[in-house]
Amino acid sequence: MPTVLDELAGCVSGSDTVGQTYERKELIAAINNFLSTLPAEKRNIFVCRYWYTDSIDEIAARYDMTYGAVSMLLNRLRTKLRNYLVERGYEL
Amino acid sequence: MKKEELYDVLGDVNEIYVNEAHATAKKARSLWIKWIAIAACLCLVVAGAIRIGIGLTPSQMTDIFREGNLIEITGQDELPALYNGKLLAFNLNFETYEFYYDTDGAAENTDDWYSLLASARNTGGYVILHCMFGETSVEDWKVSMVFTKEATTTTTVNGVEVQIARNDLSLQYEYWHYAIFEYDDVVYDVRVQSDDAEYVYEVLNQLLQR
Repeated sequence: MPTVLDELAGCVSGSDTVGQTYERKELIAAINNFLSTLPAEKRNIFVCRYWYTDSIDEIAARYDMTYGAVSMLLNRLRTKLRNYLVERGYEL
Repeated sequence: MKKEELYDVLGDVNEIYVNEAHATAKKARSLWIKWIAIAACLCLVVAGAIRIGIGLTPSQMTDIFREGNLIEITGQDELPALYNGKLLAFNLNFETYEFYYDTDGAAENTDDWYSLLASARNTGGYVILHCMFGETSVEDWKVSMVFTKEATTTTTVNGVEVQIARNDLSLQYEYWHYAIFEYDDVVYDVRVQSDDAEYVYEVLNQLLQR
């Protein structure tokens, strides 16, 4: 769904040259490390949204949260992921 | 890196995390996401064109983006909200008349708040802001705020009917104008952080220039 991709746009710059300079496996490992730092519920919500592409409404129902709480949490996690990758030398 | 590439990389995260997230009712990642991604790119192109068309200078604009049918224009990074003179929010996000923010601190000590969650809904005449303290959905304390809002007005800009309103947050900061209009079967929600109504019309004129 477009909104999932649009949300992820906040983690990247849109430049298609930078990503090519990084090993895909290293990036996957970095993201896995990032996910390992999250509490289980927050990690699950992140995966639900960006792996399963669940809607925010679906996630809110699954975790008994409000739409706004899920939206805010995802926004916070995207910022954290971006900062996490930037701190490790990824130029996004 | 493109967002599609990041999405692709996210598809290879640890399988354990994937299984944990959906203990039941798993579904495969949709193949049609690639087509949706292409459509999303086209949308970004449209948004980019609008951005260029608006021609705002960096000092006037920190963010213009299209998310779904939303265009947001802010004049500064922060849209603070106050309660009893205390800064409640330093990053207030609007989402179709509902906005949320979080900050740090403890409920009983406003100097040390943490995990503050606030939501608000436009009731038509004013906005009530509810604040929750604690982790996500855990509600420890609640306070309500009322922001007055001037009456909404409907006007026509370059042949397009536009609904314009202004939220008066009763702060020394700039007012938050918003305008809603439908163009080519898409409803746009434009937010302009400025106390200058003429500037709002200027933005609308540039957005809706034929």
